[in-house]
Amino acid sequence: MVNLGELRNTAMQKISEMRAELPVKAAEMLDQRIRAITAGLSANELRAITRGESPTEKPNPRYKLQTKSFLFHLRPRYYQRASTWFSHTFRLGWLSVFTFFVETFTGIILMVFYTPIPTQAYADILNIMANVPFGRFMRDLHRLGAEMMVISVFLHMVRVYFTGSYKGERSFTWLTGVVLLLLTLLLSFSGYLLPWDQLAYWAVTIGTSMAEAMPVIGTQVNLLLRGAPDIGAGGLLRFYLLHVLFVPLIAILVISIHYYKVSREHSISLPASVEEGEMDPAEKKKALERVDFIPDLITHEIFLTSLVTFIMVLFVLFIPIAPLETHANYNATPLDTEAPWYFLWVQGMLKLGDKTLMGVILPGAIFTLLAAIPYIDRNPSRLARNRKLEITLGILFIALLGVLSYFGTPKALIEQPPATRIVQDMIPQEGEGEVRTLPFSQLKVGRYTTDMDFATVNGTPGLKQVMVDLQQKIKQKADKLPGAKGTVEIADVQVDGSGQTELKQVIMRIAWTDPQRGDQVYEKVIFLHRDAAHTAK
Amino acid sequence: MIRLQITLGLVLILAASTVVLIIGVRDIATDHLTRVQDEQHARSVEVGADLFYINCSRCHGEDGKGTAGLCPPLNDRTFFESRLKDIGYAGTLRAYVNSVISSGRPVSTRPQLYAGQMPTWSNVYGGPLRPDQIDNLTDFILNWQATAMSGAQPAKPEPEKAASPEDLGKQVFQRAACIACHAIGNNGGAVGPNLTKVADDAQKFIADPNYKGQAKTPQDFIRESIMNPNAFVVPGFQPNIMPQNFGQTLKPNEIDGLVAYLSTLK
Repeated sequence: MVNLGELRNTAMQKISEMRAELPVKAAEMLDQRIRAITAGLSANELRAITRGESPTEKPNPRYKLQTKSFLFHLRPRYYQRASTWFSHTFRLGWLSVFTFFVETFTGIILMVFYTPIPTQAYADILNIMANVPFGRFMRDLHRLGAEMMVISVFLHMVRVYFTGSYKGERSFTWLTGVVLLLLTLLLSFSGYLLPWDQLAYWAVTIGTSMAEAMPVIGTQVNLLLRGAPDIGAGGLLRFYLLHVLFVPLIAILVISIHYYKVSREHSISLPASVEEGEMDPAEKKKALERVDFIPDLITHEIFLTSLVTFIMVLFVLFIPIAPLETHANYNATPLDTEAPWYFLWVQGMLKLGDKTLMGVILPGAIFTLLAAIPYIDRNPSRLARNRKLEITLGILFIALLGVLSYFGTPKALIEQPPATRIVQDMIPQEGEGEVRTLPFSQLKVGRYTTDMDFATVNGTPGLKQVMVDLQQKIKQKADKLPGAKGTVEIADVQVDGSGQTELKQVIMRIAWTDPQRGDQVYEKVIFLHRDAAHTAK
Repeated sequence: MIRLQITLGLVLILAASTVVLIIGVRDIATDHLTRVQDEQHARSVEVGADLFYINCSRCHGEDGKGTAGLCPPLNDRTFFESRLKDIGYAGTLRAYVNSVISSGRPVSTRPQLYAGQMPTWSNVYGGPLRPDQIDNLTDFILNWQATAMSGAQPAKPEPEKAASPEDLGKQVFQRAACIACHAIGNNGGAVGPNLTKVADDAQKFIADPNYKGQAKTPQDFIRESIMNPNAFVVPGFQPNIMPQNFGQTLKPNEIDGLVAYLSTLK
């Protein structure tokens, strides 16, 4: 006979026992799940980390991450305090990687709205700016990130050079760094073409024509890059694929190698003063103590991420940085073609000599020399006082880059016809200039000359200023423009429904008498619409 | 230090999110993007005006009033209001304007009023302009809509009294819209070579080692260039831009007249 009452009691007892165990079991299971995801860190441990407390278990579970977690295997277990001094690294390596991530994120979003076809690309950029919420924001961030990446990679390299951190076991890391510099420049430059505006088209035409100057294989390399003798649909697609796929993939690989070397093999260098200098033993001990990756370094990295994100976002809110010129026009070479600023030094060199020598052989030699620095410099000391020659050469090299970059600016070393120059300065082909930014209401129909009485245009101070400046500029070049007279003509073109003119024609003309060629005239005609952004209403 | 960085970091993330929110509100909830569109349209009209001035104004007039007997006014109320109905075009006026500029008018649709041929302009069909430039031109032309004059009539056609072949040629030069692409003096387009001194230039081109045509005299060279424009393409210009069919569309005496007229330009 089964005693039902007893059975019921036993069952009730079992259930209450299980109930009592349940929270413990659930907690255990939860802990297991958490540990599986965090590669060994318990919930308590995570809590301790965010509160900056010491490890909750022994051995220190925070050191296991580097072997157990894929994402953390690239990261260090700890650095010595002195190698994390801000004045030693300036966080430039971190900044380079951070901007790479910004570029990836904003770039993928921009890709959603972009088609790499000549008939569509420019319209897509216009659409991103005028129709896509956050479109202009993403584009500005992408541009800002690109500029920052070039700057931070360059400065990182300068820092490593001047602290002598490329020596010994770090020589290979330096080599990967030189490769990363090249990849950064290539990433930035390949993105240059994509908006398919005049700036893009001609900067890349010049860039690839340098490839053409390479001995023996030049023509083939140029064809390979452009997809045809001139940049067209093929060239755009190739640069797009380079920009969004090929170069980023290689960059991720090389960044990983570079990072792994630093974090897992030889660590960030110590300041030379700590490594070789004479220091108070107590201070030295403090300088050499461990700073753990978790929680100190990772917290710092996340802090820097939020800081720089904030700065970037705020920057583009106030300063729209991504330019867009007029649609690419292969029939019209712009008057002032400018390479991106980080290639101005090459453009400067090109003005000084032969395309093959200055555009290919010398830049190639410079990068080769850069890569070879650790193998040439056999001086074992990293202290500045033992490296006077290296440091002087470094400063000279940077100064040289600066001077060459100045030579590379459009106006340096190139003498343009004076009248063309004056008109281009006041009404540039691209961008705004003094005339386009005149308030629309000041474009009073009429004919104004530099020899008239400017009091008659007192009612329109902006227009008066244009005439004064035109007169001034002509005067400055009086020796080259004998008997010159400047004219500005403003005429109505179209009126809108309310009877207001909304489109005007502006002609700027300079007439002079050339001693050899007689009477000369240079003129430029533009149209200005009331609603165009450059004309204030 | 850790606590401080976490706190500051959180504040910064909140601040950055606020900025993003501001941009979002500006882009989505205000008319900011509409204003950007207006600006882009305004720029497009500016570019279109420039293209019109260079390429179209010789025939259609700087103010869009057309040329009597040659080509119709565009700054015209009937054009904006009834043209599509008159010809039974089902699409939009924008599409109509865009397609007419792009492909041109090989044959006039109203020869009794406007006898001129409209050249092909889009490079898709062998013309000199890119599709985005056609869009700019369309924006410019449609921008006349608000004020298009009613019943704008171009000035009276000049009677075609061809006393000499040269005079006939001069008229044909205007009527066949040669001037839209070829300038004589300061007057005319820049799509094709300048013809101010075409007779002298012809002499030079015949002597050019790259010249593969049949002509021996400037007259023959000019005739060949009209009948078969690709026989010699002046350096700096593209082949296939000039219509290939003037030999069929012009009468023999008109071509004779053109050759006679152009041969006087030295």
